[in-house]
Amino acid sequence: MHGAFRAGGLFIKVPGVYLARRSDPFRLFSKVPMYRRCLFLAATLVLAMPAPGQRTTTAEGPLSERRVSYTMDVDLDPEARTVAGTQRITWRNPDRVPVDELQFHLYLNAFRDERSTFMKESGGVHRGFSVQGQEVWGGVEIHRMAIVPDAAALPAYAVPDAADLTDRMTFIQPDDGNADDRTVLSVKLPRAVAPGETIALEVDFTARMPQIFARTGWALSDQGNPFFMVAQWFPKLGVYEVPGQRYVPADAPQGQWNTHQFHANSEFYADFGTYEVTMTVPDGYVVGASGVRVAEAAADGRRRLTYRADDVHDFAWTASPDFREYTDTWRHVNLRLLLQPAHEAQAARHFDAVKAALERYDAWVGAYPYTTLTLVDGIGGSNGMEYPTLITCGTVYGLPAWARAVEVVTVHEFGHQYFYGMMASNEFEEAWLDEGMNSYLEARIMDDAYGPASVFDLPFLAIGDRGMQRLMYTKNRPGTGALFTWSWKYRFPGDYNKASYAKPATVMNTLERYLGWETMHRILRTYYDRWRFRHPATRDFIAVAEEVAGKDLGWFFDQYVYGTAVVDYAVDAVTNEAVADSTYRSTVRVQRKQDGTFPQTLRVRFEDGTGETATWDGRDPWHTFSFTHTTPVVEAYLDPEDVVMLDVNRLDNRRVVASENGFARGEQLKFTTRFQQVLYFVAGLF
Amino acid sequence: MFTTCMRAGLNGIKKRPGLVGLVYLGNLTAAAFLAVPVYAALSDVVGPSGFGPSLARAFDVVLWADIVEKVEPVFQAVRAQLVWMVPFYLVWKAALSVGLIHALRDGVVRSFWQGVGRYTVPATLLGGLFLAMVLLWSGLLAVLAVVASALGLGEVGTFWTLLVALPSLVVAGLALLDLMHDYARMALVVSGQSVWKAWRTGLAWPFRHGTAVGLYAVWFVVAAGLLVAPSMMAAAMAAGWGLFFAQQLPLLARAAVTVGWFGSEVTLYERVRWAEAPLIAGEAGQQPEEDAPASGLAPA
Repeated sequence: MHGAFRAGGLFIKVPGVYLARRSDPFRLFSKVPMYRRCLFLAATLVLAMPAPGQRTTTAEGPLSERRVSYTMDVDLDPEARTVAGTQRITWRNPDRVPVDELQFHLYLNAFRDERSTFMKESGGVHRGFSVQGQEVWGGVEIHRMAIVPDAAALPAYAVPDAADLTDRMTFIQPDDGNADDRTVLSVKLPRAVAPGETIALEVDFTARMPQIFARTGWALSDQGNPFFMVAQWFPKLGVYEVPGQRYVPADAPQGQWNTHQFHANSEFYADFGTYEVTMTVPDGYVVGASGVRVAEAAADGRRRLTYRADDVHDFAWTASPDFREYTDTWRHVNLRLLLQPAHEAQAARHFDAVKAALERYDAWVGAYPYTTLTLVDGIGGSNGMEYPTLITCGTVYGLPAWARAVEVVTVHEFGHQYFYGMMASNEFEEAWLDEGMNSYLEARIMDDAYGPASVFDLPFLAIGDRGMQRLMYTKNRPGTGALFTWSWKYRFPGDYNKASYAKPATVMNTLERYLGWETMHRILRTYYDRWRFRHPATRDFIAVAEEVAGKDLGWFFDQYVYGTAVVDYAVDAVTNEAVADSTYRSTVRVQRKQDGTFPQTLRVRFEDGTGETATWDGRDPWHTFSFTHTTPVVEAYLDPEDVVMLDVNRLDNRRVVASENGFARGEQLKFTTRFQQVLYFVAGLF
Repeated sequence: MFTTCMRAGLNGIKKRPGLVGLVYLGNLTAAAFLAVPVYAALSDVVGPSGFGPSLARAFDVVLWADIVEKVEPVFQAVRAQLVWMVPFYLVWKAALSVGLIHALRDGVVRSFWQGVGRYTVPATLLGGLFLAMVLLWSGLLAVLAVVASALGLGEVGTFWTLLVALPSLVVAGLALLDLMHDYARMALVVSGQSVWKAWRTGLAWPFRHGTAVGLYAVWFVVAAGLLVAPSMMAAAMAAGWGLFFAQQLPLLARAAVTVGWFGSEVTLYERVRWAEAPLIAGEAGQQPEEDAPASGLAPA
């Protein structure tokens, strides 16, 4: 089937719209009668007219460097569960020296068999979903790769012969040497691409979608229809990092490809560019995709849709006949929600959550430059993922209003549009810069939009998002797993999740409280303004933070981003001694119980109701504060404003001289009543 | 018949306030006993910290996690105590039931403790049979849940099956068993039947007498409402002694419901028993089997 897309390569530009024209657009439908072909052509001409609002971003010109471009024309075969077609890729050499190799991610090959690195590391389980069923496996196969002329880009790469690169393709395993892993492809070029030169390739490929258990693939809906989440699906260039970019030394003789294998605990990294994807799907399928729909045509039971996305680094799409479509707008953004039929009652919850996120990201970080955002309610393991201008959320039937799971996931996945989408840090190597920063703002937005009970809102159980994040870090082996760790190199199970989500969120919350929200706000804005579309690294964020805060924060980042220091301070003892009439000398001894240090504030309350505050750099293992006052100290409270959210035990931060048992008595009464209820209930049944 | 039985239950509450007090105090004592470790643990952990007032104002998940981490040994001790508390509670429940049935039967004043003394052992054995049925029913529904999950009912079907239909079946089944258990105990106490025969009488009872089901349902609804009331009060009032005392009112009423519930069921059982008694003297199985009403009065 892929052969049908080989020929062609002519592109005509309609104002604002690119239309792919193949040498024979009807080869796909070779058995279709002529009169129906004419109808198809007519429909194409009508429907392919540019629709209003087709700009992909609010910007007049490019927002990113656009080193790559992808133009694809593919066909979805629901029976075979394949997406097959041709892609045209261009890549401009950004280095100051020639580059003689191209490297590609073939992520879908992680699902080729159980021997891939992804499958070995995951054991076939990802986020609680596991491999099961008969038609599990997938993968991407390249049938042909060839160099093609590209008149649009100058200087253009060309070779007199040897245009076919198929025989030059080899799989490499830069991370673990697993010879069975086929997720990274290297192609040696017949001639090096000169600095600034653009090479154009044409690739025929077939992506066989796996049964979904980790983000991508197909599943059967409750209605028995196929659902496709077409993600990580096409041969995709890795990132060529030039000297000075991220961790390549500025004085290095040349740059290097940063193309990691697909790991169980890793997401993605790619260069910015433009995407134009035409997909042919069966009639009746509702399609959602990255970018803006610029053309649509229908005939003979098939629909051809063309989407364009600019200044993005990936392209994903979904198709299912079951989707219920809802639309809304937020300022310049067209919001589109594709829901499973069972979840229609929750449409408003999705829109409310994403608008809350758009509003606050706009105010706190920076403008959302894209004109579309598609929210997809997928099936199983496809949910809770981010792609440029398309996110998968996911909910369950009957989700009560007091459990804001759908709101949390929607706000979280939208936040990725900034940290994964526009900042586009290397998620293989520095996942916290995306997941962690996003989790920090997710909690801030949830608590701001929905109040302190933003996650669970019951009369007897009110839990906010920030509290949840803090809990997941402080009570989950806080001394293991540094934020700055390559994602597949964490030693203990669960450390990747903790160190990529909850811990960085708590680290950033602590930084915010330490510096103040105004400063943190300026840090976020500056970081976004300076680094969007530029793949920032950890040190870039730190540099911005130190510059904006106007102080050295090395002690903080060294311990809590690069290291695994644990903060636990405690008030150890309070003593009072009468030294004269109406004069008491009081001492408060405090302890640093673990290796993490943080400046501390101690507030004491005297018996007469007055108070005093003292500070300590928090470095020594023990420290004693002394106070002289007319009445004794009755309470000592370390970090009374709860600045240091990293403190793994807050209960021991405070001590009163005379034990207060009112709370214990109140809880005893409360529990007595509850036990009475339980006993009556049980007695009624037995 | 239904109205008469309900009225008899309410009269039982009025005539035997001591039984209401006994049920209430028994429940309160057991609950207070269970809540002692809560006070001990929180007093030990939170008391010296000074966090009490802020914790009383609002739920703080982080502080509670710190507390739970520290009081874990106390909760382990409580869990260990359940090893003897659960069987003890089951025996007490059997004793309480037969004591109430004995005390409320015949419409005359009888000693609660006499009933406890006479019937607790066979009632406990009877309770064992019904406990086995409860476990059997629970196991059956667990299997049903697994089967339903594997059937591929779809998200909506699974929701209604697992979260609505099966829990409803659990409650309905347990309620039916409880209803059978009540009448089995009555057969034990009022008719003096053996454990085995009483068990069979209990099983058959709801299918033979629809009024029993109606009575059970009405008292069940009233009891459920009274059990929910303290939680609703807690949501509306500040915690403290005031709330605690206010919550005791519906719980005291719940104790009265227990007495009224048994009173109604005993009345029904006795009326049916007399109605079904052979009219010809000398016929086998004639009533009364054990002790005739002391007053000589029997329901018409």
